[in-house]
Amino acid sequence: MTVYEGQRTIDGLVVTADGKPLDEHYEVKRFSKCGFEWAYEGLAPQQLALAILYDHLHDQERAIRLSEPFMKEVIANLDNDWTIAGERIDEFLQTSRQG
Amino acid sequence: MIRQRQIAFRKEYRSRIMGWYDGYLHLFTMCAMGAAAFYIYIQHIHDVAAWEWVTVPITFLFTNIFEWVAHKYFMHRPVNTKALRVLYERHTLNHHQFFTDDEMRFRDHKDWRVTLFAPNVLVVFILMSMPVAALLGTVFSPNVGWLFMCVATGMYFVYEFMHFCCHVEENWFVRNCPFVNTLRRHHTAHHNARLMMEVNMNVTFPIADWLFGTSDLDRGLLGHLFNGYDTRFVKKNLRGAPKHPDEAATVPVGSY
Repeated sequence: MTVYEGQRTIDGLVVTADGKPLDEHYEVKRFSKCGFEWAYEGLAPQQLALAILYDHLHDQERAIRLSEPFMKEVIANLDNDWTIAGERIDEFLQTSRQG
Repeated sequence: MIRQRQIAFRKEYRSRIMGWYDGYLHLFTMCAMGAAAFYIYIQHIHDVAAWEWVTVPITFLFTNIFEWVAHKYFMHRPVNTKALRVLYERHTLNHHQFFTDDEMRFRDHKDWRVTLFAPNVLVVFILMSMPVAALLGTVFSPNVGWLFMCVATGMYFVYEFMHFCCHVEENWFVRNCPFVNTLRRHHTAHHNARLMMEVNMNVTFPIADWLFGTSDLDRGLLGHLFNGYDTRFVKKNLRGAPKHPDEAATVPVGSY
């Protein structure tokens, strides 16, 4: 399963999926004009939630629907640097009532 | 205990500071600019009427809310405007990685660069204050306009002083001085990576944090202002566990 990682570096934010830059997937839905952020509830964290969910599920409608609860439950609680394994996303999907 | 990522960040940040940077010169430049500004302001204030003094507390509250808004929505949120994004990059991506609640202290005066605003920020702040002062001066009286400038610029320096006190070594003054000790605990909690984007956004007096519910404390306004290092009123439902200033100063200063 894909491993997602994020870092706040001196040169900016770095978010990867298995070591490759994670696309914002603005073509699915554009919540934020400013890319990703995390550790709070807002539009940039929701864009990150959407990008991870879409990359994991390959399902636009479901990724959009789940982006808000995933942002609130997972993305808003991340540290400066973080790792989210596919198993953690599956765990969220199983417990989410909107899945 | 400081983590390896913070040690590495500090090393990288310091390697990028120009060799000639001198924290004392930075501080002196800012103070000289502030003194010049106040000299001009005070020259224009004459025979202040009782009602004109009301400008002081109102401007104080206004700047407290302005500080909260700027910190929350520009220093901790990515925005597309280049000039504003610099604030986010310097603050969230530099200042908050250099200082975490594991290690909040300067090593020496060269580290002041990552906390004190550049001198040109003071110029921009004064220029931003001038239209408001001109409006107040026209609508009410010239004294009101100049008093607004005094308090607004004064609060800029209070911000710098209080913030500076949050990043020095533990000492009698910062532990016991009212307001300073409150802000020092308040700001150490803010430097928790899980709290910094939402909690404790005031860097002078936690009035707007109390008003808007973004404080990590569950108590009244006076309790907020005179809380000191007390941790009994810390909320239980926060995303992270705020640390005490002592916990952010466990090793001899200058180790990292």
